[in-house]
Parts: sequence; structure tokens; C-alpha cells
Amino acid sequence: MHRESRAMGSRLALTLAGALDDGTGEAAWGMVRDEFEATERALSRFRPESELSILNGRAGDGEFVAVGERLWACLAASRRAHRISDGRFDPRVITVLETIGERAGVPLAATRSASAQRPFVELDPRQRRIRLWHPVDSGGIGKGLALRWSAARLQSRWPDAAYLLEAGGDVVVHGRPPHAGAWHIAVEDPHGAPDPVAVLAVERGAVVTSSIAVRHWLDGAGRPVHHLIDPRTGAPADSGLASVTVAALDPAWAEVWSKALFLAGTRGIGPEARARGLAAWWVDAEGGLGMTPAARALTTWSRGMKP
Amino acid sequence: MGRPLLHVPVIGAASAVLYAATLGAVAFLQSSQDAALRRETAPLQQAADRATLRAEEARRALTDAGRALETAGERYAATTQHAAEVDDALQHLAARVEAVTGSAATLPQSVPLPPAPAPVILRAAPPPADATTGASGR
Repeated sequence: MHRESRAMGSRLALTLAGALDDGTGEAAWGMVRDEFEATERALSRFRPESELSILNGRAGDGEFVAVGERLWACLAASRRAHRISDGRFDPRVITVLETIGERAGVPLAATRSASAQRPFVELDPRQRRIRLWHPVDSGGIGKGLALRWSAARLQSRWPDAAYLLEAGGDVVVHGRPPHAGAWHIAVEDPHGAPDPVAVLAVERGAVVTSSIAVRHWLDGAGRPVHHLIDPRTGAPADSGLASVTVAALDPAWAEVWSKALFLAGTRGIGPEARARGLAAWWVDAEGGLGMTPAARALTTWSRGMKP
Repeated sequence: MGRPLLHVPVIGAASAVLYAATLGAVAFLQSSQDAALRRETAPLQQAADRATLRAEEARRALTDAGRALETAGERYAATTQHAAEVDDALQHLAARVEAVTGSAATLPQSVPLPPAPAPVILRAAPPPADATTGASGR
């Protein structure tokens, strides 16, 4: 069974494998759409009424605000991702995105200069309250969390189900598809070639890509810009890479590492991805494909690989 | 006879006292001379002790040097043996190089090769995939 629609500004699709009746399939699809809708209500920066938009409007007022569990989880994960990626994952890039043209039309609190002594968000776990010092973007990690929560609900309800869930270029799989030992995931060529750069065999987990193939445009001065912002420069990353794909068990952390590795650049991505034991594929600006040993183990076909 | 003979014991006692005094003076003089002699010969004795100690050290050093020389000699002999073996190996290698050089001299200067066919790039089409990961926003 296959169903698809749109969510978070992208395509959302669910493929269920195995002998599930139509009622089960529709229930599963409804569960996924409900989860994405709930996540958007909490985390979307494009919805003025979302929890995140309301919180962003109050950023810097110094008050702790009680929040829902989804926004709490998102900001807690973002803070940890910011820390362990040495600041390369930084949700404060929302102000840069708004400045260079990806405007949500939702007012943000006036930005203040970031303090090195103070994190952008403070958490009060006992009362699940948050004090936000700077407007933030949920971005890719929000999509990854929606996939994580949807997958958790599917597995909780149908533990033996085999499925493939796609959202905006990110993929989560579970179980074995019929007539195959694993799901086959193609890695898109960011330079627009019709064939993928690689095809992966994944039995369980997520495959996530950060790419500048779609979300790029000209800014007010006519300069080409894209949505992957380097917080160290406050400008679109000029890393020499066109896309980075990461396979991991959790889609939210795969999102974090795909962005952090993208900012590592052509020279830094290989050593860092290998050192962290990540399964990562990357395509540089000239079309060259690189991958880590962990990624090679999952690759069943790649461009240039002999038959 | 009626007068006591007192002068006899007096003379005896005086003689004994004189003898004792003379004996004490002689002993004192002997002791003083012995002490002076010891003072005079003490530096000589100390020098003799130091010389004995240094002679013992020199003997030990000579013994150690003798052992070191013996060890060095053994090592030199072993090294010489190894050098001889290397020399044999080099001579053997030189003989083989000479033989190979002679064989190479018999090879032709150039060998005509058949024309190579145009390169064929084999590229399999990608297998069908269940989904595609890529840029967000579509």
C-alpha cells in the first residue's frame, strides 16, 4: 500500500509492505499524518500560531515559558546538537534565512547579540519550561523528529510491519520489504542528473540528505544563496559540497550530522565522518562522490562502480 | 748502742722517693717522645693509606677494562663474520645481476604491439530503488 500527500512544505509518503489489510493501512497513514500535523502545530516557523512562532516572538524577554513535549524535545535536542557539533548546528540561523530571502512572514523578536557565556535556550526540565534568548528554527531537526515520532507510533501499534516513510527527501525504513532483504534507497544527484549517485540497502533506520539542489535562490543583491547557513560566517555555506547523505538509526540525529558534515567541507568531511563512525556519502561541487567505510558497507551500487 | 738508729730508715725512705721520682720522670719523657713521633709520622701513614686505596681502585679498573676488551673482541669477531656473509651475498647478487644484464642485452630494443581497441566504459544502470533521498523542499 502506498499513500502520499504534503507536509512541512514537502512530499510525505508512506509505503507499507506485507499482508496488511486496507483498514490497517489507512489507520497507519492517518497516524503518520496526525503526527506530522501535530509536529507542525508545535514546531513550524511558517505558522504564526505554532508554539515555536509564539516562543520566537517572546525570545529575549527573560521569562520561562511552559511548552509542549514536542517543542521541548526539539529545543533540548537542538541545544545538544549545537554543543556536540561545535556550533555548526545552530538553530539561530533563522535570522540569516529571513534576511537572505527565505521569509516565513511570522514576526520574530528583535535579535540580540549572542552571548558566549549564555546558551540560546535554557531548559527547566522539572516544569518543562523554556527561556529562549534568541529566535530559533526547527528546520531539518523538526522534520527528523516528526519522522522519529511517526515511526515510533507505527512500531508501537504494528511491531511487525515493514514500512518506508518519506518526508522531504528524508527516509525511514523498518522491516524487510517483500521479495528483498532490505529497502533500496537511491541517493539523488544534487547536480540534476537523472540517475542517482548511489543506491543503498537499508534494513532499519533513517537516510537523510542535506543538499542545496532545491532550496537556492538569488538574494536581494542578485547573489546566489541557499538555505544551508554556516553559523560561523552568518552566510550560506561555501564548503565545496553539493550534498551530504547520512544513514543512522535516528532521523533527527541523521539530520544534525548531515548539516554539520556539510559545513565541514570537502577537506574535513571524510576525516570527521570516519572518526565518528558515521555512514556518510557526499557529492562535491564538481560531482565527485565520496563515502565512508560504514557507508560503503551499505552501498549496493554507486556511480562509477563496475558491474 | 743506746742511741736509736733513725737515720737508716730516713735514708731508705728518701732513696725510695728519689727512685720513684726518677722513674716517673723517665716515663714522662718516654711518653712525650712517643707522642711527638706519632705526630710526625701521621701524614706519612695517611698518605700510605690513600696510596693503597688508589692502587686497589686501579687494579679493579684494569680488571674491568680487560673484560670490556674481551667483550669487544668477541663482538668484533661476530661482526666480521656477518660482514663476510654480507659480502658473500653481495657477490652472489652481483653474479645474478651480471647474468640478468646479459639476458637483457639479448632482448630486442622494441616490440611491436597489436593495436588496442577503443576503451569501453562499462556502466551498469542503477538498480530500482524503493525511495530517493535528496534535497528537501520538493
